[in-house]
Amino acid sequence: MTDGTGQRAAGAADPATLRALADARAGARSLSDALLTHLPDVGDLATQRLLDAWVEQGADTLRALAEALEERLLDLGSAGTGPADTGPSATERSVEAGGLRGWAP
Amino acid sequence: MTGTDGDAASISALGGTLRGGAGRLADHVHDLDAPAGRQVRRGGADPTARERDLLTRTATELDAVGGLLQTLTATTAESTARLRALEPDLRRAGLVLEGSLVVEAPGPSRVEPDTRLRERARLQELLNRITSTRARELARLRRELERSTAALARISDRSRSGA
Repeated sequence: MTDGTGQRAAGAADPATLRALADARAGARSLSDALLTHLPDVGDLATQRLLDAWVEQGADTLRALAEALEERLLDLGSAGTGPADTGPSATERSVEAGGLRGWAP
Repeated sequence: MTGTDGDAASISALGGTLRGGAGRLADHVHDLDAPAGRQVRRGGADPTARERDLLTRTATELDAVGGLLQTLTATTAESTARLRALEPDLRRAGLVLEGSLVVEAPGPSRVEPDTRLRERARLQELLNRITSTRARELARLRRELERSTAALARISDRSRSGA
């Protein structure tokens, strides 16, 4: 993973960033699941079809977003630990230490 | 209302979930902003610029559609109340609603035919105004859903491509 400029974000394992990324990843996943539990009924066939398709797309986008956040989290975590570190990653340690902010959809 | 209005509670619930979720995604952007700013001030690369952009764009789409669903819920409730207010006039004139049409109730009526005809035209006009408000909201929602589905698909592609 790169920082968007083609360069790896050097020394980027900032605990606050890792916690925020982990929270955001959990939030995106949770919201994706929550969207799929809804059964909206608009009472108009054309609108209903578009809304159903939108909900499916919204859930997919949130899953893709969670994957992107996960990838960045792992990337920054591994950038901070170095290749010799075989224990729990800095990401996992930081997130465990800080905990996740409560996230209920 | 007319039996084709859907389930307002289910629309409201989805709208609420979307707007609440959009707000929380925006909070995550805020939480990522501060450490990214510190890192940039120290001369480092912004570690989460792309992720904040993806979060912001997703939140914007969820908020937009959630807001329209809540507006539709409010419009439906208002239309239902306005239709209920027509019921006494419909009864007095021996008329009933059939979908989006005002028609004569079955069986004989003690109402003068001319009066009934006038009332039918007047109440049909009122009904048209009420139903057209909801039809406009539905059309607006359809346009927004089409636009937003495409926008969300682009965000999915960007998220998965690493772009």
